[in-house]
Amino acid sequence: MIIITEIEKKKDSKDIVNDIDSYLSKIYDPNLRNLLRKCYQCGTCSGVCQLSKVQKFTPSRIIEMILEGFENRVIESGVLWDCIMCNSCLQNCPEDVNFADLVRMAKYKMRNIEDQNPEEYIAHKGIYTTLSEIMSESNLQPERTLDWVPKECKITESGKIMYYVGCLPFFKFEFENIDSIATSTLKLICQIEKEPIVVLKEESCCGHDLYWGQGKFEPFIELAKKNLKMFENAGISTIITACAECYRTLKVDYSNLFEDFDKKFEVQHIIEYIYNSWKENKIEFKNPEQTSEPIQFTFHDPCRLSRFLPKSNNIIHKVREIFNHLEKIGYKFNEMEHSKENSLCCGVSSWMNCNERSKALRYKRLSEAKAAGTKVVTSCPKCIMHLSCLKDDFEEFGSMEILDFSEFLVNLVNVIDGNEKKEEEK
Amino acid sequence: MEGAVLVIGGGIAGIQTSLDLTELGFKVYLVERTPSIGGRMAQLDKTFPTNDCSLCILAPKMVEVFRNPNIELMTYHEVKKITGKPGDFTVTVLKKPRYVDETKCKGCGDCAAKCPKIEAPNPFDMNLGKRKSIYIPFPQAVPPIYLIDPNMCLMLTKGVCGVCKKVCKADAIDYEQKPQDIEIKVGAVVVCTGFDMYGEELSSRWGYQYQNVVNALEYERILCASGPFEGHVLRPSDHEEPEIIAFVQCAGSRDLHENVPYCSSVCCMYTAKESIITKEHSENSKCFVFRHDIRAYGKNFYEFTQRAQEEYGVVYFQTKISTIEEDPDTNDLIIHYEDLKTGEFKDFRANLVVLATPLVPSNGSKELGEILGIELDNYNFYKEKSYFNKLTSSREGIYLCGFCQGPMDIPETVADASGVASQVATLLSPVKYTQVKEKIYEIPEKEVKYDDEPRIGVLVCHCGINIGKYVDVPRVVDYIKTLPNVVQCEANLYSCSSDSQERIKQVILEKNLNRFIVASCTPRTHEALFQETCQEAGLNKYLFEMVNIRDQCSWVHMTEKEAATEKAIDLLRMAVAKARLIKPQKEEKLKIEPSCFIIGGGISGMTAALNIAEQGFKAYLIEKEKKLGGNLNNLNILYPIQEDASIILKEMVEKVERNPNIEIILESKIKDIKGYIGNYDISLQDTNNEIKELKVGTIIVATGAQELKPQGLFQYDEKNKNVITQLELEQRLQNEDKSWLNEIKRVTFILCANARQKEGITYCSNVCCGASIKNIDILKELKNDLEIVALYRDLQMAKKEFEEYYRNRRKDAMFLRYDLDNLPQVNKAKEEQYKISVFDTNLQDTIEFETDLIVLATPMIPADNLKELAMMLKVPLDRTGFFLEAHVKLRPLDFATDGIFLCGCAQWPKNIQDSISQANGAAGRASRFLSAGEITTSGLVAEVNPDKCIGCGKCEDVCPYNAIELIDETKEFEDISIVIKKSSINSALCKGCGTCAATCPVGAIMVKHYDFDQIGAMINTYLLEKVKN
Repeated sequence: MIIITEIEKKKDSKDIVNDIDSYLSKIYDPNLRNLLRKCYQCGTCSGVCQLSKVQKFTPSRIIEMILEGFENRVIESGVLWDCIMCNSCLQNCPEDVNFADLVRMAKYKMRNIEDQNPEEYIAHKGIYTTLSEIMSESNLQPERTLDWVPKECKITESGKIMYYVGCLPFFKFEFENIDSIATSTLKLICQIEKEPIVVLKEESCCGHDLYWGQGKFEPFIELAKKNLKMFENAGISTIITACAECYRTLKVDYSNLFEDFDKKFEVQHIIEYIYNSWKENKIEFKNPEQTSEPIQFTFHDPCRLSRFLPKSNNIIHKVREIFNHLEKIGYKFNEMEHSKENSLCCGVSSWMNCNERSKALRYKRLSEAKAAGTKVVTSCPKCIMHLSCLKDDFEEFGSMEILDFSEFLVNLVNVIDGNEKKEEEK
Repeated sequence: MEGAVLVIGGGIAGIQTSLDLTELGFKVYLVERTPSIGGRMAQLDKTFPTNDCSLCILAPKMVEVFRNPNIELMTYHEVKKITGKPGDFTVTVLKKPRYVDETKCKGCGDCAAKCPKIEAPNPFDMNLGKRKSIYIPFPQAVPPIYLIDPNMCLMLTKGVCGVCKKVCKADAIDYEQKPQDIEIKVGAVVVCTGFDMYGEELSSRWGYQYQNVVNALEYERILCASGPFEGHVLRPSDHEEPEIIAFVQCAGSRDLHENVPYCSSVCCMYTAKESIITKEHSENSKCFVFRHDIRAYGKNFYEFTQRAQEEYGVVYFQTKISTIEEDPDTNDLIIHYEDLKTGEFKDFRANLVVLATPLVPSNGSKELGEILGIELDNYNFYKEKSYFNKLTSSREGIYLCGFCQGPMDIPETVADASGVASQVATLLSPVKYTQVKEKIYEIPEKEVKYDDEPRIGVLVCHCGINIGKYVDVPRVVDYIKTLPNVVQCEANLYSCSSDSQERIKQVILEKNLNRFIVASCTPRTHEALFQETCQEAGLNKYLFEMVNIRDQCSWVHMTEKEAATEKAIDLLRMAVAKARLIKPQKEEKLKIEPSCFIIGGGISGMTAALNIAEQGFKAYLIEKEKKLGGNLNNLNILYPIQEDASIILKEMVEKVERNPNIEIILESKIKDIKGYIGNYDISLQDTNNEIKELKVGTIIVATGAQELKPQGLFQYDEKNKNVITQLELEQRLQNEDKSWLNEIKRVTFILCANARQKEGITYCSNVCCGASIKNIDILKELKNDLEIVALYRDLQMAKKEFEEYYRNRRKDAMFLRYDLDNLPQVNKAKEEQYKISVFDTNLQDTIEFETDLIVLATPMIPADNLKELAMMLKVPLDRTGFFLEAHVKLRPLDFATDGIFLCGCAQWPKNIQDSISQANGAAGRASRFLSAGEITTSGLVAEVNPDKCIGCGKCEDVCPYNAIELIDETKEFEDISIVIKKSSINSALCKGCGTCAATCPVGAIMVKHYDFDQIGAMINTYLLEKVKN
């Protein structure tokens, strides 16, 4: 459960307002045309747009209207609330026009200038983003439960390495067993590290969904500041997360806000962390229950890992290197029809637009997954929720298993060195 | 013939009877001799076995009676004379003077607040609490009309004072009122006069004369939060919290010499309840129950008594009590008793003693019996026409319901009330709907479009000084006037008075209002009145909003007037914000197919079918076997009336077969049930696989139960022919050939075989004890030198008829009492001879003997394949596998889903008498809809937006009324087409509770009149527009 206690309220002052404005300028440009100048209307984006397969939605037409000076019409129409922000357009754009960023800023305009209320687009009646907003209040200090932490894992309030859990423990009231992702991740880290891992009761939401989903930049900035302070107080240098959204937010968006963020903190996704540990010979992969028939499995690339990171980031290749290696211990990795940068979207982003169109997108994705193996591994809790929800609706997917990367690996990792010897001594 | 009915007594029996009768199309005169309806149930703190607050579940029914236009509520009246014949009675009713004009009194309570007379004991609190000489018996009294106690009032006794007249702003006080005779004409009379509880009448050995010995009804008031001690358990002598509380059962009951000979049948349960509630009130208290037999007679009742012991640590002693005496120094009580487990005599000191004293027909029953010309039985209860027709009195046209006929609990009373209503409906069938009112509105409803500018009228009520003294009403009015869209805002003295209704109509019409708000008391009692007024002025009733500034403001903030006023302003501002957004709603009418489908052709099903058919509706009676009768086919002689089951069965089957309105369908099973109340489509399949389709309006489930065959227990298996169940014995006895008895010298009955255990079957089936005693009797008559032994744990023989049975049990057999921890051992000695070893707890010794025949009284278990049927009907089963009713206390014959009812052993094991009265009750409940011919759906229902629905089905899971279904819809997209489920809400079944709307993750469901915009507007205006002083 979340317990919220009120701490002393800071007095409003002009400094704080100015402070917010200076941060805002780093993530928001009121002139949307600035983002689109390079577009020469090739129309590729409208061709690859995943949403356009299930409803009328043409990014290139929207871009054209803005470029021709009809930004107001676009904003007034509210059409951009519909975008699922999968970033397939940017992936294929010859000029790197960042349409998703345009949508993000347009959402801020639609909300703050046009006073549009996207409530009817928000799934779960906005409860989860409301929680984020509550956490962003400077005078409210949420305290979260740590009852999911396995007994064998040693955690601490200050130290070098932090596991940034994200919102998983809040989701479990509606999504059964979802916090096993956190449990598995912490088990993996604690197995490998000798020191206790920092897990904080006062951890705040990263703000991803407010930032991308609802155009609520001010609370996003507040959350980022709160988290930064928290990281600094805990004295950490490495942040590990198992969530694709948290990863992108900390790695890219926080760095945009705070100049020295990436110098102070090394942000690692659990995939990178496992990959590095493996390459450094700290761990090996073992399968205690190896079967004669290899287990067929596939990987669903979350858009935040495949299309929302700088091109230099090769996390999606690292995960495949690990998976291909698992052939040695009785697993067979298969690609889906669409994979890596071209993978299909799980259908919903930032709690926006859960509807029958999104179901069609998810249906397509699960159909591809089913053709590639009964186990689907991914590395984004939201993807898991969205795909699992659909799986429960359709009998044909009944036999499929949808797993997080950590859940998948937690029993396959064996720590080399001292620990193993100690085991033997016992 | 008169289409009106007189109901005498306003307890739960009278209330339920009246409500059901109006729904069947009759006008009701409800006469109650005390100033309020509610009866004994209103006095109870909690009700077993769910521990619901008694008044909380009763009060809505009381209010329903109050608001029902077809019930003429005659409280503080008494029946004096009756003449005429069934269908045409003339009754003289005495209206006792209240000294308050009930047409003027608004129940504000200003008079009682100022009444100077020293307080007098309040009978509602069993004289433990106090009231003024002008009073209502309890805050929730219905009607909420004050009255003056003529023996106490200074004005009436000495001619001085008159304060109440001075303070009453409604001018309702009338010291000159005189008793008045009123004549009414009715077609039938239902007597529901209930019970009293012994106190002073008890013989002195029970110690009731001591201050700290109370009877159970007094203790209910002590426990009750609104009682004399505000829910603190205190002893009357020193108002200290007692540590050791002794509950003494059977105090004065089942006693042939003093007090009453019968068992009151509810005391074992309320004692368990009171001890549980006591433990919940104060953990330090220790509760001890001095019990005799445990007679927990009803669904899951026995388990409840076990819970008291296991979960709450209540200690039960099996005892007989000699005397209860007071220690004069401490006012403690010394109980002198015999411990039946050890045979020792002991003393027990308690700080407080609660006596489960006998429940007897209420004071004046005898006199009323004489007035009505109906007979009493040996115990002074009203005598029923016959054992199997306990709802009819000795005089035709006069019916009995509830405790005045014999000891029974609330669910049985409620079931009987519905049964009585259906019998009255049969008698008065030709004059249904001749005397009921249907409201006709003269001014047509005006159209209000969603974009019409809201024009809101507001009325703020002073309620005398009830609100006005604490809430600054003029300030509220001044503020509300400033709000946008408020066209008119005024205050008045009593919003509920008839001149206020005229004023509301006038304002609506003159100012062309399209919304109206009243800020006064609770919508629970008054919303319907104001809605009707709005409708009379042509305003759709859903364009009305009500704000409760009495309970919420003046009552709870009585000591902080400023806060009370501010809160009233806030609440009203919120109502105005909502009112801007409310829309007119439509109420739909749905036709009801005038027929009933009855599942199960046993005694319950046949009774229900006959009842439905005799009221003139079509009944389809389906039975899976080749013939009607169910378990009755296997029974020999019925107790306690000693009649041949086959004769009763034959008569019943003939009646059913002769009735042209009944279609009997044998050897068929149900393939499918579709639809909802009023419109069920049923398809049946017979043994030739032929399909038959039916269209019916309602369904009654009467699937009965079966006897458990205890394989392996006490040597029961195919090889041992002389170890049989009770039902197998009945079949042997039915047979002409009794030669099997020749070889038998000793028979042993083992009661509670595989019943009332800690695990497995935990319940008591209620009928086996009586059946065993009956069969012992029959065997003895067949073969006089037979030796019969009965091994028992408790003898479950509640109800008035069984007392003699119980008394005579030792005449023919030896009764040995065994314990659950120490079951009898049965070993095979040789072929068809068994050796039994049993530890008799009465003798405290092991007894061994041989026997030739063992009869096992095993429990009743649910009929086969109920799960399948429950799925088709979409109704629940309970954890024991019987059907689960809507509410164990007040809706024993309904399912939560409208249109489907249950009765007999499908609900719980019961005897034939109870099955018959439940069947009549279920038929009554079902025929309410059939009589009306249509149902009006509420405008307050949930609605799905299919475009937003993602078909997750969460709404279907949470809907308590089975109103939601998922329907497949194929959706075409560019490269795929998929089947997506869409939620569909049946407005005929929806009760507008909003659970689905709250659950829907995508906000696709909203409840009309309470949608998210409206609630959001209320919250916004509360938080964002808070007025500052």
